[in-house]
Amino acid sequence: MFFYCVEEEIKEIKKQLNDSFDVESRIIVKNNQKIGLIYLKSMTDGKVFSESIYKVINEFDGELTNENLLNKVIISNDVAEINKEEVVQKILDGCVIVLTGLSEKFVSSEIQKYPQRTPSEPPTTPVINGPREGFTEDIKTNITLLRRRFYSKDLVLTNLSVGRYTKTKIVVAYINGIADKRIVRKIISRLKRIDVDGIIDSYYILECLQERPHSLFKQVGFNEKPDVISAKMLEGRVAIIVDNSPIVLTLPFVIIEDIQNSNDYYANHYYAGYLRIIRIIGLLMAVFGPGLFLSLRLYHYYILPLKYLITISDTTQNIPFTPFIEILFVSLLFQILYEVSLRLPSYLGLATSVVGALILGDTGVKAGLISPPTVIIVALAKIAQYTVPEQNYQITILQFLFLILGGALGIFSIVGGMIYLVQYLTTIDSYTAPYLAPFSPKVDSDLKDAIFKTSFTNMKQRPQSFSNVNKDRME
Amino acid sequence: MNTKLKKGINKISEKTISIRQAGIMLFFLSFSNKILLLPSMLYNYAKTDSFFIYLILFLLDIFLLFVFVFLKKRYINKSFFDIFSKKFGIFIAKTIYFLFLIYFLTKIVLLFNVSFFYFRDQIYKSISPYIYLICIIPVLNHAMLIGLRPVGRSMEFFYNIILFAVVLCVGISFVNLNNFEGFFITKISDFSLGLFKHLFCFGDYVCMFFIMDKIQFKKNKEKIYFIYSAIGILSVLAIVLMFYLIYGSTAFLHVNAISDIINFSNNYGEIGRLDIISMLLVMFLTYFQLNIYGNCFSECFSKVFNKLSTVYSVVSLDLAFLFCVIFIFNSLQTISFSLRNIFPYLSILSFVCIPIISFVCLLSDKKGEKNRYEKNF
Repeated sequence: MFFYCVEEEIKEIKKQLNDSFDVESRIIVKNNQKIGLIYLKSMTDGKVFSESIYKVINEFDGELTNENLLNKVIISNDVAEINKEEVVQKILDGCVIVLTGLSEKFVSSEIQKYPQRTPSEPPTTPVINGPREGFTEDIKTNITLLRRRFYSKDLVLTNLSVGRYTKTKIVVAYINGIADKRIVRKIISRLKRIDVDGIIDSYYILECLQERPHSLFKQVGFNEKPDVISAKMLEGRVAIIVDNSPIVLTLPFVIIEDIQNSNDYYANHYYAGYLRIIRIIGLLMAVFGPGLFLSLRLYHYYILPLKYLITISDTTQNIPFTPFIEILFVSLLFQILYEVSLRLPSYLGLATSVVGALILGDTGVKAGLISPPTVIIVALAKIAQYTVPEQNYQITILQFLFLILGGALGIFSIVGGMIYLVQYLTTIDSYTAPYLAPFSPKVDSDLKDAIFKTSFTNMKQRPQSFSNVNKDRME
Repeated sequence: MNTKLKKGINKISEKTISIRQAGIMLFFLSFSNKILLLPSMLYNYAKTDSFFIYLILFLLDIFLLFVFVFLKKRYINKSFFDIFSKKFGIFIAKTIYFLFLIYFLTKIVLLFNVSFFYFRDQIYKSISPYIYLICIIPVLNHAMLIGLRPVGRSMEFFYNIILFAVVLCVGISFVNLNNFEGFFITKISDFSLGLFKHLFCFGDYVCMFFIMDKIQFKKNKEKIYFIYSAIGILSVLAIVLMFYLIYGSTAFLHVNAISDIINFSNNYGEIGRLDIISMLLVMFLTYFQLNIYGNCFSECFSKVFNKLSTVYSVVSLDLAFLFCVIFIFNSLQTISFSLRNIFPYLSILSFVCIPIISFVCLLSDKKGEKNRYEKNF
């Protein structure tokens, strides 16, 4: 007894897929039975299709029922019986659908294949020691990279699909027995609530996950390295892997995470502490440097020792612009060069750097349009902001705001702005984690891995700045 | 613990500060108005014996702290207003709170003016008080609007840096004992007069009474309050002692006490003007103290006018503050006159009213309330 006509069914499925040109179908006639095959040729592996589907069906002698297909014919680790409603989605996922007509149900086998790159060292987080592999755009590869680090049943991966048109796969990963289930539930519920056309990259869901979506400050951690993500998961954080994005998100997030670097954990802990101090100095220099310099030049020049004051006044006295305009001009020049160097091909980028840094800078100074101290301060601030590259966007905006504060009202307003900023940051809580923890509120045990890093054997407890289930990392 | 109680605890803990943060507030309050103008003003009355005026008045502050600790232990999660109004009635409680509204406004105005004259002398060659107001008001308003918790946390964030700056200020100062005039050189009458006339510069620990329901309670952790206040008091005493040791005699209205103890250190001349450390220190102290006073003002306002939101308290403070700064306390002379002749009477509120109210409450209600709140940030 036939439940449907195979040709008609294929026609209907094709219609549902809008007769796209890459929808391929075959009909095999065996023992008066028509077997239909339908798949997307752009998403499937032609060789696997021929060897594992087409050939074996052709060579099978018995009756081609769904049961036989599942158990005797198709030798694949991902073969299943599906309902009619699931057919289109399965085809879009890269499965081949087998239509026998002998059952209401269909058989699907995954033979997905599409271009993908192999894991390589991420350009944003290179390391001297430690693993060099990075996540790729393929979610399956990314999950494998994580699984390879946890040969344990406690690694939990929850699958979701978000986006009306893209149906992007999102996997929420956490360690059972470490991560707080309330946080996991909150993340999943927020992801389920996202109702947009599509998710192109993990950055699309970042703002939906933030407790304060309109804030300047990022409240979600992200990284491209599986070792870093694994370490964060072991601390009780939850990872969110998005298909088509090599950036994996983590929650909860505290700001100190951006000061920490994977290199710190593969180096001597004294040296790691030294590097973190350098990063903090860089961060402070980047945010407050130009504003402070401007306020000293405009309002408090007599604070400077006389020798420095003479040097600065000698080099700035013939500049036609006000100090504020001058420093703003140099900052803009650097920002333009940065934008250009990002977008140009690498061989042109080098030329632009030479033109920008040497010719524009040097000629500007020689022409008397800008002063050397201004160039030095702005260059220092712009370079320093890459000591913490994850905070680059925030630093750029803050640098500009503190420049205005310093220029308008001097050092007192910079201190006021600093207090305002810290007070604002203390109001941000990211999934139970106070943003400025472990400094405010002070969490003594977490200070072991804050500015200074103690040795690995001393870090016996997991971070307590945020909620996790099992506090003990080692005995 | 049932869910309803848990929810209640979470809701309260969202607005509370830890004992450490409260202790750090005490540290900041120890400095209030005491390291800029006050040493020279006291010198006018009691010469170097002014140091003992500091000691005596600090003891009064510590007495206030003891009263607070007893009260907090007895009434763990109750506000001072609740305890007070229960014993004395709403009307009296509101009247006293209204007087404290004026008290905190005066504290804000005084701190604003003293720091303004300090910064005008030290780093701004010419600055209008309006420019200074533009710096102060947004931070003060923001602190009032966001509440005590972020203020406490931000103080905790900067605490170590500020303590380090205090140690540096004292540590790098140059002491010349040849100028020191010695102790016990003034008459008791002058000493007492100096003590009375500068009462208003002390008694800042009274702020704790107004925020007592916003401080978490932990059994047997009260010593934290005393540790931080002791650090603050010792820091102030060290700075004041240095000031009197460096200056044999000093001018009246010498506003730069803390900076000048460093300025006159010629050991580090090659590095530059190290008094920038003291300036930054005073900037942070000024902002934080204003934030505490602002929150206390807001608390009093919410109790006196219980149907109005924080926004009204912010607007009221701004208007009253501007009026005072523009029309009343617009010169150093007016400030020093008011400080010596009018403000001491306001100190009755902190040094007399509050202890009396607290003792009456403690003696008449022996049972108190015994709710415990779990640790929460």
